Amino acid sequence: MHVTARHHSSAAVPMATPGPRRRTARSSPQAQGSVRDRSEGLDAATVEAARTGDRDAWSVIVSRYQVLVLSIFLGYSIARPRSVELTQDLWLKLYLRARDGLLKVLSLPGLAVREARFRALDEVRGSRRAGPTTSVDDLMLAAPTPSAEEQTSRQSELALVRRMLAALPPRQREVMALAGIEGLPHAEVAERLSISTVRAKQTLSDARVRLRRIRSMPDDVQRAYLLVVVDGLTPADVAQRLGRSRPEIDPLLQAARHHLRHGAVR
Amino acid sequence: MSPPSPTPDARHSAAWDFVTGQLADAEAERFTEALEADPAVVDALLDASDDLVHLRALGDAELRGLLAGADAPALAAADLLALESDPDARLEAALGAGAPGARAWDHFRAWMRRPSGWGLGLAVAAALALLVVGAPSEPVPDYSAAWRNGASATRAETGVKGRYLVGNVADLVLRPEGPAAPEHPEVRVFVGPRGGALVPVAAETEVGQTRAVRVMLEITPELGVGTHRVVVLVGADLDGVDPETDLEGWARVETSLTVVDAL
Repeated sequence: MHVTARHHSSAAVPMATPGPRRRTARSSPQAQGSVRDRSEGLDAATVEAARTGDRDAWSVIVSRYQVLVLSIFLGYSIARPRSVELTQDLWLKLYLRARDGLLKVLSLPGLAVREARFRALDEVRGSRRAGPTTSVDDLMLAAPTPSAEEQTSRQSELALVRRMLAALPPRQREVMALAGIEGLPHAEVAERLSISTVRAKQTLSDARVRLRRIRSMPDDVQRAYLLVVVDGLTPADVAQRLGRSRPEIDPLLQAARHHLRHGAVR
Repeated sequence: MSPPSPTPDARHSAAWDFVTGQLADAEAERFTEALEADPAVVDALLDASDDLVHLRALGDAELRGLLAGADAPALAAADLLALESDPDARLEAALGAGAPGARAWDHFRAWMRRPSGWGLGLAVAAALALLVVGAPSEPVPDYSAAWRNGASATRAETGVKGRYLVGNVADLVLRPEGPAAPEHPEVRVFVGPRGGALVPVAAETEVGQTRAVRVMLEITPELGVGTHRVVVLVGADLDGVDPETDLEGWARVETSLTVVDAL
């Protein structure tokens, strides 16, 4: 996605395609090397530059928090095309506000998150806010292709999420399919599965805890675990696949079981 | 402003509820304030947002294309619903395959394939059947429960054990009263009004070296002001267990906590 203010070419705001991000729970060097480090926090100079309308600074901010803003619109069950529009519009308005010297304080991601929530509520209630009051006729949106590195990283993440979902117990899988993938509200999930809304919410919470615990497993533990529970391989096959001896597999699977029950050691 | 939630599970749960619009206005405001005070809350929110977008992208080709290109793997909800495998059973089977007992069973099965092994095999099977039928299930010892204030003010701002404000984390420790406490028990937590039905709640749990079980339960506004029953079940397998019943297969601990609206 790309936002350009034609009459203000020096102030164009690149709406970067959502980039990859390192997960906090992930501890493997392999995972860390493939995506951007979250600890690269926004420095005060970038935030201050953005507050005063610097285009490059906004590019950094948008790249960092675009998925976050998009997720809030999607999370409020707003259709994806409209969620993308609202995300673009939110960043544009924040940028225009900064450029016009109207941002006295810029606290991120708090400001973007608050704005996204308010706009999502407006949208859900059917009281859409007016569009930008300045330069609205001059705005052009474009969607550049994500970089190969970003695509590869996101593809790996999606493939992992896909396998982790298959590693959920049957009831958690059902709830996650309906609530997570289809985005149905708890009440509808409960009705579809003939369970109570409380049970649906609790099961979704259990599923999310389990996904986090699978994600937090060390790489070799996670690989062995998923090969067994998703691909149905025997420990001997897992040993062959991982280039390990057979006796090395049991400790990996025991560690996986411990992670599932207790999470990572804190 | 309420202090940030001290437990990772509570933070992630709140972040998911925020992203999916399940927090009331006051809770959402508290959450966004916590964002500015605690980087761990920002991380939890970014994790929740990634989770949500990735899940939706699996079932939405255009969103998937926007994020990861056309080659990204897809997963329709229907495909996930159609899966029949039980991952826990597969893991236990794999672990069992490597256990000494399982190896002995493999040798026994190989021996049984020989014709000369049949007679004695039948006798051994009959003896094993008697042993299995006669063997009682492993009882779980009783546990005693005690609320803790802990070092953090968020655990019980009131300063009174078992008495909390919304936003605190109730910290309960269950100590086994017998030697046979399970090393890796399943723990389930239920909360309900006095005289009312118990509902399962999300709580973070830990098992210590002494096999004591620690339960950390976030006090949310939904819980409401007043005194609530808290029931914790500890056992090897708690699927489908009724929290109102107490049998040998699990330990049941009932206590109560009080939520107040001001110090």
